[in-house]
Amino acid sequence: MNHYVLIASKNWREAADANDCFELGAKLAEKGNTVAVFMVQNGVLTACDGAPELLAARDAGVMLLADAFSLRERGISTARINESVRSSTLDFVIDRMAAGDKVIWH
Amino acid sequence: MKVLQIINTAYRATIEEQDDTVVWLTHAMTGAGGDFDVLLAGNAVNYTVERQDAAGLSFGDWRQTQPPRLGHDVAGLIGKHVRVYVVDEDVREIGLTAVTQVDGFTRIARAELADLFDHYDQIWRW
Amino acid sequence: MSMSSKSTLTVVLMDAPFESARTTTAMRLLDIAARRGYDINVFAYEGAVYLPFARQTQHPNAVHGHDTAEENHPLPKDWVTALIAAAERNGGSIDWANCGLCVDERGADEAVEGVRRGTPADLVDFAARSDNTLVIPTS
Repeated sequence: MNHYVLIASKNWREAADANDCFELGAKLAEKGNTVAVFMVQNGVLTACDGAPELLAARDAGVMLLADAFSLRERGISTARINESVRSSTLDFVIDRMAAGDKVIWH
Repeated sequence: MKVLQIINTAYRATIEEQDDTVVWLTHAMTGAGGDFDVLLAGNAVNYTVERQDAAGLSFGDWRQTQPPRLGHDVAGLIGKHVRVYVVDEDVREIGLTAVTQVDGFTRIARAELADLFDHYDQIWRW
Repeated sequence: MSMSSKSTLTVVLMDAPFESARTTTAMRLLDIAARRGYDINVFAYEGAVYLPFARQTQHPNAVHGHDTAEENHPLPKDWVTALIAAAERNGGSIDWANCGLCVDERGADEAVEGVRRGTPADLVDFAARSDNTLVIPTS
Protein backbone atom coordinates (compact mmCIF):
# COMPACT_ATOMS: atom_id res chain seq x y z
CA MET A 1 0.00 0.00 0.00
CA ASN A 2 1.20 3.46 -0.88
CA HIS A 3 0.23 6.89 0.35
CA TYR A 4 -0.77 9.53 -2.16
CA VAL A 5 -1.59 13.22 -1.96
CA LEU A 6 -3.13 14.67 -5.10
CA ILE A 7 -3.15 18.46 -5.19
CA ALA A 8 -6.19 19.80 -7.06
CA SER A 9 -5.29 23.37 -8.02
CA LYS A 10 -7.84 23.94 -10.76
CA ASN A 11 -11.59 23.81 -11.16
CA TRP A 12 -13.33 22.16 -14.11
CA ARG A 13 -14.53 25.58 -15.27
CA GLU A 14 -10.95 26.55 -16.14
CA ALA A 15 -9.54 23.16 -17.12
CA ALA A 16 -11.58 20.35 -18.63
CA ASP A 17 -9.40 17.72 -16.99
CA ALA A 18 -9.40 19.35 -13.56
CA ASN A 19 -11.53 16.64 -11.98
CA ASP A 20 -9.37 13.81 -13.33
CA CYS A 21 -7.41 13.87 -10.09
CA PHE A 22 -10.56 12.92 -8.15
CA GLU A 23 -11.09 9.98 -10.52
CA LEU A 24 -7.45 8.99 -10.14
CA GLY A 25 -7.76 9.33 -6.38
CA ALA A 26 -10.78 7.01 -6.35
CA LYS A 27 -8.94 4.40 -8.42
CA LEU A 28 -5.86 4.59 -6.21
CA ALA A 29 -8.03 4.20 -3.10
CA GLU A 30 -9.91 1.26 -4.60
CA LYS A 31 -6.52 -0.44 -5.04
CA GLY A 32 -5.93 -0.18 -1.31
CA ASN A 33 -3.82 2.95 -1.23
CA THR A 34 -4.30 5.77 1.25
CA VAL A 35 -5.27 8.84 -0.73
CA ALA A 36 -5.95 12.48 0.04
CA VAL A 37 -7.03 15.11 -2.45
CA PHE A 38 -5.94 18.56 -1.28
CA MET A 39 -7.84 21.37 -3.02
CA VAL A 40 -6.04 24.70 -3.32
CA GLN A 41 -6.37 27.90 -5.38
CA ASN A 42 -9.44 27.66 -7.65
CA GLY A 43 -9.50 23.96 -6.90
CA VAL A 44 -11.40 24.76 -3.71
CA LEU A 45 -14.39 25.81 -5.81
CA THR A 46 -14.89 22.13 -6.55
CA ALA A 47 -15.63 21.72 -2.86
CA CYS A 48 -18.59 24.05 -3.35
CA ASP A 49 -20.10 22.53 -6.47
CA GLY A 50 -20.17 18.94 -5.24
CA ALA A 51 -18.89 17.50 -8.53
CA PRO A 52 -19.79 13.84 -9.13
CA GLU A 53 -16.08 13.02 -9.28
CA LEU A 54 -15.58 14.52 -5.83
CA LEU A 55 -18.45 12.51 -4.40
CA ALA A 56 -17.17 9.33 -6.05
CA ALA A 57 -13.76 9.92 -4.52
CA ARG A 58 -15.39 10.39 -1.14
CA ASP A 59 -17.27 7.11 -1.60
CA ALA A 60 -14.00 5.36 -2.47
CA GLY A 61 -12.50 6.48 0.83
CA VAL A 62 -10.44 9.42 -0.37
CA MET A 63 -9.77 12.09 2.25
CA LEU A 64 -10.96 15.43 0.89
CA LEU A 65 -9.27 18.59 2.14
CA ALA A 66 -9.53 22.25 1.12
CA ASP A 67 -6.89 24.88 1.80
CA ALA A 68 -8.22 27.28 4.43
CA PHE A 69 -6.42 30.28 2.94
CA SER A 70 -7.81 29.62 -0.54
CA LEU A 71 -11.30 29.31 0.95
CA ARG A 72 -10.94 32.53 2.94
CA GLU A 73 -9.38 34.32 -0.04
CA ARG A 74 -12.55 33.54 -2.02
CA GLY A 75 -14.97 34.31 0.80
CA ILE A 76 -16.06 30.69 1.04
CA SER A 77 -17.32 29.73 4.48
CA THR A 78 -17.30 26.12 5.59
CA ALA A 79 -21.09 26.22 5.29
CA ARG A 80 -20.67 26.49 1.51
CA ILE A 81 -18.43 23.48 1.05
CA ASN A 82 -19.52 19.89 0.71
CA GLU A 83 -19.84 18.18 4.07
CA SER A 84 -17.30 15.56 2.99
CA VAL A 85 -14.59 18.23 2.64
CA ARG A 86 -12.55 19.37 5.61
CA SER A 87 -10.74 22.69 5.84
CA SER A 88 -6.98 22.20 6.17
CA THR A 89 -3.68 24.00 5.64
CA LEU A 90 -0.61 23.55 3.47
CA ASP A 91 1.15 22.13 6.53
CA PHE A 92 -0.64 18.92 5.61
CA VAL A 93 1.15 18.83 2.24
CA ILE A 94 4.55 19.50 3.81
CA ASP A 95 3.85 16.86 6.50
CA ARG A 96 3.02 14.27 3.86
CA MET A 97 6.00 15.24 1.69
CA ALA A 98 8.28 14.82 4.70
CA ALA A 99 6.69 11.44 5.37
CA GLY A 100 7.49 10.33 1.82
CA ASP A 101 4.00 10.21 0.33
CA LYS A 102 3.71 10.38 -3.44
CA VAL A 103 2.58 13.97 -3.91
CA ILE A 104 1.30 14.87 -7.37
CA TRP A 105 0.27 18.35 -8.47
CA HIS A 106 -2.76 18.66 -10.75
CA MET B 1 14.99 6.15 -7.06
CA LYS B 2 12.71 5.70 -10.02
CA VAL B 3 10.56 8.59 -11.21
CA LEU B 4 7.61 8.64 -13.61
CA GLN B 5 7.44 11.86 -15.57
CA ILE B 6 3.86 12.67 -16.61
CA ILE B 7 3.79 15.03 -19.57
CA ASN B 8 0.30 16.40 -19.99
CA THR B 9 0.73 19.73 -21.75
CA ALA B 10 1.74 19.77 -25.38
CA TYR B 11 3.22 22.21 -27.89
CA ARG B 12 3.90 24.76 -25.16
CA ALA B 13 6.66 27.03 -26.52
CA THR B 14 8.00 24.20 -28.66
CA ILE B 15 8.78 26.55 -31.54
CA GLU B 16 10.73 28.94 -29.30
CA GLU B 17 12.55 26.15 -27.50
CA GLN B 18 12.88 23.89 -30.56
CA ASP B 19 11.80 20.96 -28.39
CA ASP B 20 9.39 20.15 -25.58
CA THR B 21 11.15 21.39 -22.47
CA VAL B 22 10.12 18.45 -20.30
CA VAL B 23 11.09 15.86 -22.92
CA TRP B 24 14.39 17.76 -23.20
CA LEU B 25 14.81 17.82 -19.42
CA THR B 26 14.16 14.08 -19.26
CA HIS B 27 16.88 13.50 -21.85
CA ALA B 28 19.29 15.67 -19.85
CA MET B 29 18.47 14.13 -16.47
CA THR B 30 18.72 10.61 -17.86
CA GLY B 31 22.15 11.56 -19.17
CA ALA B 32 23.02 12.79 -15.67
CA GLY B 33 22.26 9.40 -14.17
CA GLY B 34 18.59 9.78 -13.24
CA ASP B 35 16.18 6.88 -13.60
CA PHE B 36 13.10 8.14 -15.39
CA ASP B 37 10.17 6.79 -17.36
CA VAL B 38 7.60 8.90 -19.16
CA LEU B 39 3.82 8.86 -19.37
CA LEU B 40 2.38 10.92 -22.22
CA ALA B 41 -1.20 11.95 -21.45
CA GLY B 42 -3.75 14.40 -22.80
CA ASN B 43 -2.68 16.27 -25.91
CA ALA B 44 0.94 15.19 -25.35
CA VAL B 45 0.08 11.75 -26.76
CA ASN B 46 0.39 13.47 -30.13
CA TYR B 47 4.16 13.64 -29.54
CA THR B 48 4.29 10.00 -30.70
CA VAL B 49 3.31 10.96 -34.25
CA GLU B 50 6.25 10.21 -36.49
CA ARG B 51 5.71 12.82 -39.18
CA GLN B 52 5.38 16.14 -37.41
CA ASP B 53 6.66 19.06 -39.43
CA ALA B 54 7.14 22.51 -37.93
CA ALA B 55 9.71 23.56 -40.52
CA GLY B 56 9.64 26.73 -42.57
CA LEU B 57 8.64 29.42 -40.12
CA SER B 58 9.96 32.89 -40.85
CA PHE B 59 9.21 36.22 -39.25
CA GLY B 60 10.42 39.02 -41.51
CA ASP B 61 13.96 38.13 -42.44
CA TRP B 62 14.34 35.73 -39.52
CA ARG B 63 14.10 32.05 -40.44
CA GLN B 64 13.95 29.06 -38.14
CA THR B 65 16.61 26.53 -39.09
CA GLN B 66 16.20 23.98 -36.29
CA PRO B 67 12.48 23.36 -35.78
CA PRO B 68 11.34 20.96 -33.07
CA ARG B 69 11.37 17.24 -33.90
CA LEU B 70 9.10 15.95 -31.18
CA GLY B 71 8.53 12.43 -32.52
CA HIS B 72 12.27 12.07 -32.96
CA ASP B 73 12.88 13.29 -29.41
CA VAL B 74 10.38 10.80 -27.95
CA ALA B 75 11.95 8.01 -30.00
CA GLY B 76 15.32 9.12 -28.63
CA LEU B 77 14.12 8.57 -25.09
CA ILE B 78 12.98 5.07 -25.99
CA GLY B 79 16.42 4.52 -27.54
CA LYS B 80 17.94 5.39 -24.16
CA HIS B 81 15.81 2.67 -22.54
CA VAL B 82 13.38 5.15 -21.02
CA ARG B 83 9.98 3.48 -20.99
CA VAL B 84 7.39 5.69 -22.65
CA TYR B 85 3.77 5.00 -21.80
CA VAL B 86 0.90 6.62 -23.69
CA VAL B 87 -2.68 6.88 -22.41
CA ASP B 88 -4.73 4.71 -24.72
CA GLU B 89 -8.01 6.62 -24.41
CA ASP B 90 -6.27 9.87 -25.39
CA VAL B 91 -4.66 8.16 -28.40
CA ARG B 92 -8.04 7.00 -29.63
CA GLU B 93 -9.89 10.23 -28.83
CA ILE B 94 -7.63 12.34 -31.04
CA GLY B 95 -7.59 9.75 -33.82
CA LEU B 96 -3.98 8.64 -33.63
CA THR B 97 -4.81 5.05 -34.44
CA ALA B 98 -4.85 5.95 -38.14
CA VAL B 99 -1.45 7.67 -38.30
CA THR B 100 2.11 6.40 -38.15
CA GLN B 101 3.65 6.64 -34.71
CA VAL B 102 7.18 6.13 -33.47
CA ASP B 103 8.08 2.62 -32.40
CA GLY B 104 8.60 1.30 -28.92
CA PHE B 105 6.09 2.99 -26.65
CA THR B 106 3.52 1.19 -24.51
CA ARG B 107 -0.18 2.01 -24.59
CA ILE B 108 -1.85 1.95 -21.22
CA ALA B 109 -5.49 2.36 -20.25
CA ARG B 110 -6.40 5.14 -17.86
CA ALA B 111 -7.77 2.50 -15.49
CA GLU B 112 -4.30 0.94 -15.29
CA LEU B 113 -2.54 4.11 -14.16
CA ALA B 114 -3.09 3.40 -10.47
CA ASP B 115 -1.20 0.13 -10.85
CA LEU B 116 1.52 1.81 -12.93
CA PHE B 117 2.11 4.46 -10.26
CA ASP B 118 2.84 1.76 -7.69
CA HIS B 119 6.05 0.94 -9.57
CA TYR B 120 7.59 4.37 -9.06
CA ASP B 121 9.06 6.04 -6.00
CA GLN B 122 7.92 9.45 -7.15
CA ILE B 123 5.59 10.82 -9.79
CA TRP B 124 6.36 14.20 -11.29
CA ARG B 125 3.47 15.66 -13.24
CA TRP B 126 4.46 18.48 -15.57
CA MET C 1 11.28 9.18 7.77
CA SER C 2 9.97 10.59 11.01
CA MET C 3 8.30 13.96 10.66
CA SER C 4 10.03 15.11 13.86
CA SER C 5 13.49 14.78 12.29
CA LYS C 6 14.94 17.26 9.86
CA SER C 7 13.70 16.78 6.36
CA THR C 8 15.10 17.67 2.98
CA LEU C 9 12.57 18.63 0.33
CA THR C 10 12.92 19.65 -3.30
CA VAL C 11 10.43 21.83 -5.13
CA VAL C 12 10.49 22.45 -8.87
CA LEU C 13 8.99 25.72 -10.04
CA MET C 14 8.11 26.71 -13.60
CA ASP C 15 5.93 29.81 -13.54
CA ALA C 16 7.19 33.31 -14.18
CA PRO C 17 6.30 35.86 -11.49
CA PHE C 18 3.06 37.82 -11.64
CA GLU C 19 1.41 35.16 -13.83
CA SER C 20 -0.15 32.46 -11.69
CA ALA C 21 -1.63 31.64 -8.28
CA ARG C 22 0.82 28.74 -8.24
CA THR C 23 3.64 31.13 -7.33
CA THR C 24 1.90 32.18 -4.14
CA THR C 25 1.13 28.58 -3.22
CA ALA C 26 4.71 27.56 -3.90
CA MET C 27 6.03 30.34 -1.67
CA ARG C 28 3.59 29.36 1.08
CA LEU C 29 4.85 25.77 0.92
CA LEU C 30 8.47 26.94 1.02
CA ASP C 31 7.66 29.22 3.96
CA ILE C 32 6.30 26.31 6.01
CA ALA C 33 9.37 24.22 5.28
CA ALA C 34 11.68 27.16 6.04
CA ARG C 35 9.98 27.83 9.39
CA ARG C 36 10.52 24.18 10.28
CA GLY C 37 14.23 24.50 9.54
CA TYR C 38 14.15 22.01 6.72
CA ASP C 39 16.83 21.83 4.08
CA ILE C 40 15.10 22.94 0.90
CA ASN C 41 16.19 22.68 -2.69
CA VAL C 42 14.51 24.75 -5.36
CA PHE C 43 15.03 24.08 -9.05
CA ALA C 44 13.65 27.03 -11.01
CA TYR C 45 12.90 26.02 -14.58
CA GLU C 46 11.70 28.13 -17.50
CA GLY C 47 9.95 31.36 -16.45
CA ALA C 48 10.52 30.67 -12.76
CA VAL C 49 14.12 31.86 -13.16
CA TYR C 50 12.62 35.35 -13.05
CA LEU C 51 11.28 34.84 -9.51
CA PRO C 52 14.61 35.98 -7.94
CA PHE C 53 15.40 38.48 -10.74
CA ALA C 54 17.21 41.35 -9.02
CA ARG C 55 15.85 44.16 -11.20
CA GLN C 56 12.22 43.79 -10.18
CA THR C 57 11.04 47.20 -8.93
CA GLN C 58 8.02 48.53 -7.12
CA HIS C 59 5.74 51.08 -8.71
CA PRO C 60 2.92 53.45 -7.71
CA ASN C 61 -0.66 52.46 -8.39
CA ALA C 62 -2.93 55.32 -9.45
CA VAL C 63 -6.01 53.10 -9.47
CA HIS C 64 -5.40 52.28 -5.82
CA GLY C 65 -4.53 55.93 -5.10
CA HIS C 66 -1.17 54.86 -3.73
CA ASP C 67 2.32 56.17 -4.29
CA THR C 68 5.16 53.65 -4.49
CA ALA C 69 5.68 53.48 -0.73
CA GLU C 70 1.99 53.19 0.06
CA GLU C 71 1.42 50.52 -2.59
CA ASN C 72 4.40 48.51 -1.30
CA HIS C 73 4.00 46.17 -4.24
CA PRO C 74 5.10 42.58 -3.57
CA LEU C 75 8.22 41.53 -5.44
CA PRO C 76 8.94 37.80 -5.63
CA LYS C 77 12.69 38.51 -5.43
CA ASP C 78 12.03 39.81 -1.90
CA TRP C 79 10.04 36.68 -1.10
CA VAL C 80 13.01 34.56 -2.20
CA THR C 81 15.41 36.61 -0.07
CA ALA C 82 13.10 36.42 2.94
CA LEU C 83 12.65 32.67 2.59
CA ILE C 84 16.39 32.05 2.36
CA ALA C 85 16.87 34.13 5.53
CA ALA C 86 14.02 32.37 7.33
CA ALA C 87 15.40 28.94 6.52
CA GLU C 88 18.84 29.89 7.80
CA ARG C 89 17.39 31.53 10.92
CA ASN C 90 15.60 28.29 11.74
CA GLY C 91 18.62 26.08 11.20
CA GLY C 92 17.78 25.02 7.67
CA SER C 93 18.82 26.14 4.23
CA ILE C 94 17.57 26.92 0.75
CA ASP C 95 19.71 25.91 -2.19
CA TRP C 96 18.04 27.77 -5.07
CA ALA C 97 19.29 26.75 -8.51
CA ASN C 98 18.11 28.64 -11.56
CA CYS C 99 18.25 26.56 -14.75
CA GLY C 100 21.21 28.13 -16.53
CA LEU C 101 19.98 27.76 -20.10
CA CYS C 102 16.59 29.18 -19.07
CA VAL C 103 18.45 32.17 -17.60
CA ASP C 104 20.49 32.69 -20.75
CA GLU C 105 17.61 32.64 -23.20
CA ARG C 106 15.61 35.06 -21.04
CA GLY C 107 18.45 37.39 -20.08
CA ALA C 108 17.59 36.76 -16.45
CA ASP C 109 21.18 36.69 -15.23
CA GLU C 110 20.84 39.12 -12.34
CA ALA C 111 19.49 37.29 -9.30
CA VAL C 112 19.31 38.14 -5.62
CA GLU C 113 21.97 36.81 -3.27
CA GLY C 114 21.71 33.11 -2.48
CA VAL C 115 20.57 32.07 -5.95
CA ARG C 116 22.94 30.13 -8.15
CA ARG C 117 23.05 28.82 -11.68
CA GLY C 118 22.15 25.15 -12.12
CA THR C 119 21.70 22.34 -14.62
CA PRO C 120 19.40 19.32 -14.98
CA ALA C 121 22.08 17.34 -13.14
CA ASP C 122 21.39 19.51 -10.09
CA LEU C 123 17.75 18.45 -10.15
CA VAL C 124 18.80 14.79 -10.34
CA ASP C 125 21.12 15.39 -7.37
CA PHE C 126 18.49 17.35 -5.44
CA ALA C 127 15.94 14.58 -5.87
CA ALA C 128 18.39 11.87 -4.89
CA ARG C 129 19.30 13.69 -1.68
CA SER C 130 15.73 14.64 -0.72
CA ASP C 131 13.00 12.90 1.20
CA ASN C 132 10.60 14.05 -1.47
CA THR C 133 10.26 16.19 -4.57
CA LEU C 134 7.25 18.15 -5.76
CA VAL C 135 6.96 19.46 -9.30
CA ILE C 136 4.62 22.44 -9.60
CA PRO C 137 4.02 22.59 -13.34
CA THR C 138 2.96 25.51 -15.45
CA SER C 139 0.04 25.08 -17.81
